[in-house]
Amino acid sequence: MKKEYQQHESKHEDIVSGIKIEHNKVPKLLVAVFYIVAIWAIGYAIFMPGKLAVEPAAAPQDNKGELIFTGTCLNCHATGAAPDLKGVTDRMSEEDIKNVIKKGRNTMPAIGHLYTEKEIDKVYEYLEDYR
Amino acid sequence: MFTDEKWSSSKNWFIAAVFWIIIGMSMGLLTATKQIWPELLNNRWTTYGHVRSAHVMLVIYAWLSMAYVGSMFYMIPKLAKTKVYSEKLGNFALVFYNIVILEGFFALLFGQTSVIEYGEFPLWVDVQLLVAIGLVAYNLFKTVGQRTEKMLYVSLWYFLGSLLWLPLTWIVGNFPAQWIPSGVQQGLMGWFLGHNAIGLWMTTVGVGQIYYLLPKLTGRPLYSHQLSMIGFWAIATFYVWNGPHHLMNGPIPSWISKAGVIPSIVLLIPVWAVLANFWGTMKGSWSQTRTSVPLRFTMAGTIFYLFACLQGPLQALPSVSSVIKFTHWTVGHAHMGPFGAFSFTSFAAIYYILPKIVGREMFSKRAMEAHFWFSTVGFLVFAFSLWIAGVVQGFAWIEGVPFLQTVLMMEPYVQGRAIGGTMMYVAQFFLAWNMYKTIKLAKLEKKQQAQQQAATA
Repeated sequence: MKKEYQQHESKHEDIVSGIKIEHNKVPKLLVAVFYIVAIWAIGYAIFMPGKLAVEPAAAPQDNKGELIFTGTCLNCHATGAAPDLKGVTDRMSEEDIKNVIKKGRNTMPAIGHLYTEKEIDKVYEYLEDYR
Repeated sequence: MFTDEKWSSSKNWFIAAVFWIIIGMSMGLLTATKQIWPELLNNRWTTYGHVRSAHVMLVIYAWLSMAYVGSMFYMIPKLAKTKVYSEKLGNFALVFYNIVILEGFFALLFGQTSVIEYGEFPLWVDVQLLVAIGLVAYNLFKTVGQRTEKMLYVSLWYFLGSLLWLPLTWIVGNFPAQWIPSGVQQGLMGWFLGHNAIGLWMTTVGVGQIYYLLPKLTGRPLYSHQLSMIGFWAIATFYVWNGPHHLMNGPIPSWISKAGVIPSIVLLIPVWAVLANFWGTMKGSWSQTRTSVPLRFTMAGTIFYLFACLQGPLQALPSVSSVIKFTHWTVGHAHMGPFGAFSFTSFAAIYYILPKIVGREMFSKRAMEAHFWFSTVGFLVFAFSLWIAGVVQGFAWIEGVPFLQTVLMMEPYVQGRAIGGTMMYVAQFFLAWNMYKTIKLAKLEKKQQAQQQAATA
């Protein structure tokens, strides 16, 4: 097969199945791109980590209350699906608030089983400053 | 029982394909609509999860694959300068394939799934589909076996390669993944199928189609033999390693991650080589896209192919992936290859081949124009909505915005996607109607001719 090509090379055109094929040179830009990609690939294989480098967590966190609040409560309470909680500690007693968290109320599900007593205390502490 | 009329396999596979694009895309539209009205058709069969996987499987393995087989049943014998090995077997395979697809469709609606992206059909359907693909591959390989043209044109390389690769990826992706215990290994096996169904079936057959269509539609010689060889062998060599980039930043070993990233970027080589070859061939012929709808579909397809393959490698990088993973962006990207690039080339193939088979021009040029513009504009609206949504969503998650709030932020974009999607869907009715009319009229004309001949004789 190869020989056949060389014979045709002088004409610089082959005909296969009625379709003409030219033998133009590969554009220089493409050759450059091929080399750059190849060099990049080898460099990446040698030098890069395979994943995103994750920074270790910063100092021990004492914002547990805030984390639970933004991660869980706000999913409903920030979207209009449930009442705004700003200044809620003025409107309800500590015991009532903790009870709602533990046992739920109306459409709010009970989430007491997900957290320890201490964590619920932290959430309450955070709520006191949330206005 | 099965006809062995010349070109009947090709025609019948096309008809079935267009039937399935309507069904498959209506599933997609339902999925998109459910993101706006979650209560819509919310019964036990058409829940979001069922409908979404049915959409994905139908558009890929019913619409696109059947359109591919249809064009191969025409292009392969043409390139081999022979006739189809067995039209009867081709028609039988079509009926069998459609029964299997129906089984898979209902299995998904009834809630059976193997939970492998792009391989959702349950095992009992997978086995049958493999047999159906095998029948098609056997028939087409036999066709090439009896060829009278000594040289293999580059499209044939792509077609024959794809007909081997599809069963291979189907086996590796579907079978072991359902036997080995769940976890990382299963994910990797699944993504072997997930990405190679795209790379070694959708892409390679689609590129083969373009290599065939371009010189035929423009009447110009193919630009470079060397580039076509670089493109073919580079994609055949590097594509298989693309699966792991879907699990980027996930619980897979670092070296597998790297082994997924590098070939993803190296893919720029075959993609650019192929596109340079296409556009080199097009030099001086671009004005023809104004009048020739098939050529316009083909070239729009190559442009979307370029964009899909600029996004793809970048998305494989860990840093980019950490933003856009699991967002709407991915959905926009995932539609660009299968719809924007290769459905477009399949539309072109249908518009080029069907008139040759039935012996009559397409019934309506206007319907073709409408098909093109609704598809293109609809897709752009659809895709840009999703890309903007994805970037907003990705950064909102990083910022730690409460999740439900990010869901609400997506509202306008999800609506934009549904509007674009509706246009894409409507476009396909122009195709179906046009095809129906063309085939019907061609039959009528043939009958009249026969009568006239009988009368004069």
